[in-house]
Amino acid sequence: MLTESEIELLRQSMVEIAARYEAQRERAAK
Amino acid sequence: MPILLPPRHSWDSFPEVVLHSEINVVKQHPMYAAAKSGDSDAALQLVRDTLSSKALDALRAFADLSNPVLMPVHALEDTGVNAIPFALAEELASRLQWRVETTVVQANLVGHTGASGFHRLANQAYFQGSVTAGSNYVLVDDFVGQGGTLANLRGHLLTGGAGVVGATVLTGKLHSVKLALLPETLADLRSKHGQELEAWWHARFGHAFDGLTESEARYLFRTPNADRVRDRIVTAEHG
Repeated sequence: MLTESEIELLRQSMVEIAARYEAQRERAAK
Repeated sequence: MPILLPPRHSWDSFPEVVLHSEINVVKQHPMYAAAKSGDSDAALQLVRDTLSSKALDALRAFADLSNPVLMPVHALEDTGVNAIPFALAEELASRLQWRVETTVVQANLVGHTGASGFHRLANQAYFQGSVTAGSNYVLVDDFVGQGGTLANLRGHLLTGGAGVVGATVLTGKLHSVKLALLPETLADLRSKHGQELEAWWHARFGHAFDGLTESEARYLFRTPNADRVRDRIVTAEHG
């Protein structure tokens, strides 16, 4: 079992990747 | 350490998992290893190179029934965070104009990659995170083998009051696309291994045989006897 902080980091990594993909899509759309 | 009991629910009617590509195409892709180890750019490239238009059409059918939300299996694995499921979810969201949920993650390490069927059964994925009751989710993963991980994510979402209308994976075994346990497979399993093993299974995993996937049930059915099932599970727990 991961620790609570590891779980939160894992969740945060998903949010960060989503932001990264969104930025890539915005750059591609310009 | 206490054993986690991921919730399972019986299957009713659940559609076949929508598969995008063949296993060797995905695993031999030059970006696969990096994607599996957390490289989100490699994962997106892998997904874009292997996504199937036929599979996209199959997924569009879910939108006729509901307003689906994509729920990826986001998990830490042996070599890092597996970036493929989330990349697949994001690419599908972009193409289908659906939303991706980022609240639920796999809360344990299971070491499934390349593992035996009994290891997978004994060491199951457990999910944590908030669920929007009333939402209709489509599960997203990189691979389906026995289907236990998808079954456990489904269980987490159903327990949270949501619906699960389908599942999609980048690749997997063709015979594993049927997650829903067939009544005749359940009957065969019960007939072969008996009530005592099912009671043991319920105590160990928190669900009866009707919570198994079709592939899991067939795997257990192929095991010669109930003692062998118990022995292999116990060995795999400590292996």
